Amino acid sequence: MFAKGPVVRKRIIVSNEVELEVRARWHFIPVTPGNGATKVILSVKRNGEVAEFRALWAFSDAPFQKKHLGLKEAIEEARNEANWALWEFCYFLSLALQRKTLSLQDDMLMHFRVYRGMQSKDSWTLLDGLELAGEWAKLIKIAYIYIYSEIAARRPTDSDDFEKFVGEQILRFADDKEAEVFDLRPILQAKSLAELVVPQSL
Amino acid sequence: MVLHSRVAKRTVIVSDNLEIEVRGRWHRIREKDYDTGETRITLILRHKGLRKQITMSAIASIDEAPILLERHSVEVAKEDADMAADAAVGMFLLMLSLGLQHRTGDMAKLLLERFDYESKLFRPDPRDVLSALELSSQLGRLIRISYAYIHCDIALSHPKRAEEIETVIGRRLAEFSWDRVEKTLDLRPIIAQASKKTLKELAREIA
Repeated sequence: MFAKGPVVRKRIIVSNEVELEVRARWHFIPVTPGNGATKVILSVKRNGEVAEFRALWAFSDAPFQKKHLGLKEAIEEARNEANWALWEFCYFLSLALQRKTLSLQDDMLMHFRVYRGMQSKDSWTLLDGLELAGEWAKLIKIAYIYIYSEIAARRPTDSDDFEKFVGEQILRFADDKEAEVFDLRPILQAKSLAELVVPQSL
Repeated sequence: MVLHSRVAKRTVIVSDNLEIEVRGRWHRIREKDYDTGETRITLILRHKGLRKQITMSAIASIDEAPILLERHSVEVAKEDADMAADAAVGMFLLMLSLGLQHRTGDMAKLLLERFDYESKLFRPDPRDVLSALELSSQLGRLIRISYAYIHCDIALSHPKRAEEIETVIGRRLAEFSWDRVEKTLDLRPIIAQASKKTLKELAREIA
């Protein structure tokens, strides 16, 4: 029997002053459907001050289903759940930075079953899903605004192109399971986007 | 200068135990460069059985019309602010009535369109989309809580025909939301009348 899975985390260094840390963890919660939920915490560190924002990503009992294989397998499944939540956070952030607003909205409403609630007769499913989607949107918005402000301040003339590039890089960072830190500073110090996109040897 | 509207207030008496009061008010928000305005909804749930009162609030709309109208006439601006407060309360009751009638598609559309959600999807600014979703979800939370209390109250008192009774009172609530004169709706006689009818009669009435 275990109450919590391991914590998985990734950091995004936005500037010398601002750093974002995203942590995800699967918890045993007896009152939720599936007896468990994965929560994501976004910590914003700014000039030594820390603010934390939380949202729930998914309800899941997968670690329990794996329990009969042994505790190690169950913990590994809890880690997978947390990794999934972390990947999705980076994915939604990259969608926002790439200004794919339609996908951003659709994927969020789809995951939190708002569309499913619209098709069913149950008002509860719809309203519950919408509330969770709103909390998740708040988390993404906070992270997005910090990155957006930094890009807009450092690259006033080509901020749109840089935003898109950073969005693509964050998605790559999410795919890389080994990578723990994404540093935005060297990207914003580049003379132009071409310097980053075209290899130096050319 | 119009700082806020009068408080628009409407009450729904669900049972001897449960009473729902919805209040709306337009407020001016003073910024450094320019002023803006918003209408807030406050939900007060009084449960006598649980001896509990829940008070919650959310933004119902972002509306600068009273500030713009102020240039022409302060009286007109005041009237417009009062109308915004009335409309917000009516809209909240309408959305709750759609929830009770299980018209989930209509309810979701109304909730998401409230903060200009659809037009923002085609404007490539993710902040607008994310903010709209956040505001819709906060307003949705208020509807969810009211819906849950009404649903539990009816399901406990009329377990066999809860869904049909919910639809009947949902319809009555929709009529009440459009009515600008009536301030209180007592659902007790409607529920008592509906509970006397057979399921067949109720289904015929709904159809």
